[in-house]
Amino acid sequence: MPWTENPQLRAMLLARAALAGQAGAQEAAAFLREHLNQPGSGNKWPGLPNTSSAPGEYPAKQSGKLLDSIDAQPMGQFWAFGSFNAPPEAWGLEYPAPGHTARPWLSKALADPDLRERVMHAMWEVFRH
Amino acid sequence: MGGVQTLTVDQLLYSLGLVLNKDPAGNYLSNAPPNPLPGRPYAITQGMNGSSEALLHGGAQLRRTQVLISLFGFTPDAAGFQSCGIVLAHLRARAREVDRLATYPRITECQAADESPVMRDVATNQHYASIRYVLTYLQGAST
Repeated sequence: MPWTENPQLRAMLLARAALAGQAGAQEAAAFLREHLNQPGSGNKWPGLPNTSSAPGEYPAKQSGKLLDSIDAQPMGQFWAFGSFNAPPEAWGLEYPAPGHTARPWLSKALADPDLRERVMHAMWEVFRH
Repeated sequence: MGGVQTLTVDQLLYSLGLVLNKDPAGNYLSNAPPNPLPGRPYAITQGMNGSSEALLHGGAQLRRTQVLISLFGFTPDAAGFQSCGIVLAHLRARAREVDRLATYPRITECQAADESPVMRDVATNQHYASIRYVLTYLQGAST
């Protein structure tokens, strides 16, 4: 019996994979939002509303510009998450300027097993139904 | 350890002519800027313990950690711009030579990850850049 491709099944799988990509990117953006929305446990500097982060933590929320720029958007056939129209502090936290210490938020999130767990769970929930 | 010759991140930075911070006992402690600041290029490293892991036979794990290397103190002219880019290129090309990291058991691989372009700081009037290393280490090996 020769094998013939089922175009309907192919379209169904691709549509489901696109939904899973969307769910994973939105879950990753939600993860970033809730980790960038809390004060840190470091120093309390005058002039800043919240306690700053200690080294090794996600950066604390101060002005909220980085938090507001976190989003997940479709890009071609993929879904991208991260900081869109990134404010300067998104770059400055990742690569420190002289006299400052880095608070890597994106590279820390990409290495975070909790983020991986949540993204895999969100994508699996889409594929399961 | 892995081979006959070993190389740490600090030794790599020192061999490229960058000034590193020392504690009062004279040991290199590169997670802070040198005090006082030298008039030459200097480097600061900042570790970050992520732990994406892969399970091997026998229960050992391959885990990853990141080291962010920041290069500061290059002169604000074109020579400083070029020098910073050259040091950055050497760090990117020689990342695989690194096979030791303090307090980590066994470094099996060191890869150069993302890096920033050479930037100029207006406040302190200098060129600076950063590069990140991703080091894979073997955790829980029996031998």
